[in-house]
Amino acid sequence: MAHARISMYLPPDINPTQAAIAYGCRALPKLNEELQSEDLLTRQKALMALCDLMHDPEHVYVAIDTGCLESLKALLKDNNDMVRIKTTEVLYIMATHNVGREGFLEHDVILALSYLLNDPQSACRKNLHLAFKHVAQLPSGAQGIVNSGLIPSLVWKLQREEEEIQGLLLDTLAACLMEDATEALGSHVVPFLKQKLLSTNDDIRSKAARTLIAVSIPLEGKNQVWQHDVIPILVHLLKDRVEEVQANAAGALMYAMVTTQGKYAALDTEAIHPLLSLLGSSLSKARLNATKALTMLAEAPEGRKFLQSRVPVFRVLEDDTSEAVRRAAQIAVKVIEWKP
Amino acid sequence: MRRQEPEVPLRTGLPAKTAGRNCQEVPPPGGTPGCRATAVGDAGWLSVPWGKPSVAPTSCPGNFLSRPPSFLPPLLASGNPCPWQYVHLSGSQDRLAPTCLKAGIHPKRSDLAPGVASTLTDRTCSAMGTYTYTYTSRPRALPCQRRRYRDHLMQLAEEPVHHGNIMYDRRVVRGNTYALHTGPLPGQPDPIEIQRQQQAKRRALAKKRAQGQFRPRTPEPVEGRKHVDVQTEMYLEEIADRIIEVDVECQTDAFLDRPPTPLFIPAKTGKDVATQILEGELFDFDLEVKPMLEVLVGKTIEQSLLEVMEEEELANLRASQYAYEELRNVELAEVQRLAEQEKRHREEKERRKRQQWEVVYKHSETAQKVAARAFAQRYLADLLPSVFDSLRDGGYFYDPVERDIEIGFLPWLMNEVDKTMEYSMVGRTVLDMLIREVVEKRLAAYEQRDDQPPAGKPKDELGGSGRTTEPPVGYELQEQSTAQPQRPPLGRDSLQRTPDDGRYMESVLAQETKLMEEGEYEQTKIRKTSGTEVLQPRGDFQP
Repeated sequence: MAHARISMYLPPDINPTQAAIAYGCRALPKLNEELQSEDLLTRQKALMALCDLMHDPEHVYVAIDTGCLESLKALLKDNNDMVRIKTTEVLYIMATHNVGREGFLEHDVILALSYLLNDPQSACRKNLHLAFKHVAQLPSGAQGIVNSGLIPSLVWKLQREEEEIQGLLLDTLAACLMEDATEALGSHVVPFLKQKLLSTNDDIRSKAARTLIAVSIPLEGKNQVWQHDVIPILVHLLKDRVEEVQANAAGALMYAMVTTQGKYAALDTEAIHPLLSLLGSSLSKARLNATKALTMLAEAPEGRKFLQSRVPVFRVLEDDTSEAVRRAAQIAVKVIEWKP
Repeated sequence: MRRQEPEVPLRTGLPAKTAGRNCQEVPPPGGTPGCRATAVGDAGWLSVPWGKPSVAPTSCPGNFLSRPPSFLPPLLASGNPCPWQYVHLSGSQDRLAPTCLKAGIHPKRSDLAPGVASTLTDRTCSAMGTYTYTYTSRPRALPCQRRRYRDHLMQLAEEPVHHGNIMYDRRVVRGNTYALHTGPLPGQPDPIEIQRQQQAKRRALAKKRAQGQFRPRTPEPVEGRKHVDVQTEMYLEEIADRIIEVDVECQTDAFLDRPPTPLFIPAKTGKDVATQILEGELFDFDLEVKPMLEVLVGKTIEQSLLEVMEEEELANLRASQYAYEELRNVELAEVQRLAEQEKRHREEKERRKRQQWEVVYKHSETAQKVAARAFAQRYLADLLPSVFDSLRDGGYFYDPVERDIEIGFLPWLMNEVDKTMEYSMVGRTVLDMLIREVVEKRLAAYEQRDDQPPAGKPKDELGGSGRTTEPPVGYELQEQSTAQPQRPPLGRDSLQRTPDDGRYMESVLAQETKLMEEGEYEQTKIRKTSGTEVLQPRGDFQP
């Protein structure tokens, strides 16, 4: 039975590094005040507590409502490393929720975050890029990142950062360039991506190929891709051992070959055979992209001639599981059998 | 069985039995003699009869526990020969039964349950008219069971000790309150009134008790004798009213820090009361701990679930986003391909159309050329003869000899002819001048002679004057005529002039005076021709 003596020790499940979380609706306002306090320890403890709380979207909403974002923005410029790391972590957790993302857009947090791009702490930068990546998942978020003019610096960072962060950067860029690629095209993104395509890391290759897809959507991108001779590399990647890379490379090719010069460049590098082999891949994305790429090639007379003998393969694809693949196969057959 | 108070209901069925025992057990462990006047600690007395006879009244709790609040002194009262035990009671609901009844007798302790009863009295006295009823019971230490001092003979009536256990207090309403009878019936006095009455009764009893105390004494001394109180024990004891007091002081050392309070373990005095809590009596641990455990475990799981769900949600989002992206890419590529295709087809069409148009244009041009050629040929077929004809007509084909004659010879001839004529003209003019001079001289001579015949020849004068002006005019005319190109009409003029020279001069004069001013050749020519025409009729007139 419990005795009435009060123990000198704190209960064992209290985390001494965390600030005490007040009960109920007082929790977040109090933490907000602690964030603004002068004492370093208080701020750190408040940040740790905030990290835990931000996993719940309702808390995120309340936090944004009570203006935590302003204090967090001020803390981003703090001198202490720990504070910055934790602040970026909190922001990244908030960005995983939609409420958080919208709050970011309203309060210009993206701009404030961008000051930390050159931060010496790698953990800080990693969290920063994670936050950007999550913000970029939302179309308006991607637009926001583009509008704040961060794309050139992000592209430039692609060269300098370490691999893990490069992966995150590529994700962010892929999402942003889906929205608007003009700025990136002006800042030499294509040569950088070309280098990344040859990287040894599978993840980076696949993400780079995905970013290339986004880059080659606008016409300018297609032209640049052709000019920088990326197409042979992409054709080479079609034979890569990782399926994801193959699929993304096929996608990039699909876009690049819309222009006539792209088509002929691909035909010159014998793209048809790898693409045909990709039609049998297990990844539906790979099949889809390969079908589309072959459709592009079939627009050219040489391609059509060659593919006319391969129509049965497409007929098989018309019974594929995925609806999109079926439709693509039908269109391909139609294009191949077209007579002018 | 003396009962002081009639109205106490007998709760238990033990009265007779206990009464008897009560007498025997009266001597308390302290061992003071005889009956004593007890200011009735009711409860204290109660414990006595109910405990086991041999056992000190300390161990009564069990019995008492089982007993419902019938603490009542009625039992005591019923069986108690001691006259000065009286039942101090009031209505059944007012007394409080202790759970553990102590067999202590508090003779002089008047501080019994001041908290208990006095509050009651206080409250009832003071709170007149208000219905607030409170009960408080101060915790009281166990009274010392050993009687230290004798009971005071004139002991004041003390209030009975009423330990309060609120659980067994009849005044506390248990259960639902909406079905109880609400206070006293209107005819009866309200509880406060009742209490006041009870107080009064109590006081009366106390007085009686006080009076009764005098009764049980030793019989009166026989005559001549006097009762003296004597101590019969080994050691004499000084009996004094005054309680021996000893002053004891203590003083802490100056300037010493107060040491930490040692754990206070009070000396064990008197009666230990223990409560044995048997298994399952207080609470069921499992049952109680369940909600707490649920909360703890629940919160932990909730937090972890939240995080896992977050991850899952993100993964799902990403997966669906990838799927969407794929579709979007494919659709976009399709769109672009179609656009490209459209563009190419359109360009091709444009090219072909242009080619076609050019072909048509060339075709039409060629046709036009052919037609033009044919027409031109036809047109130019008879061009040559007509050209030659017109040239010939224009005089471009000429016989050189003929031309030479015309150009060279004939003008010379005409010149010569003119010259010759001029010579003759000049001669004639000179002749005319001569004639005129002569005529004028003759005229002048005649005039001298003819002054006698005044009706002379005015006409002659006129004619003469006219003639004098003529020759210059005539010369001018001639000069003009010679200056003209040789045209056949002019040739005719000059030829015609020579025969009708005089008249011609006259007729033309009037007209040519006007003309001289203008000096135009055509007009002079016209005049001349008209002159010739005029001349010829004149010629008719003047044969």
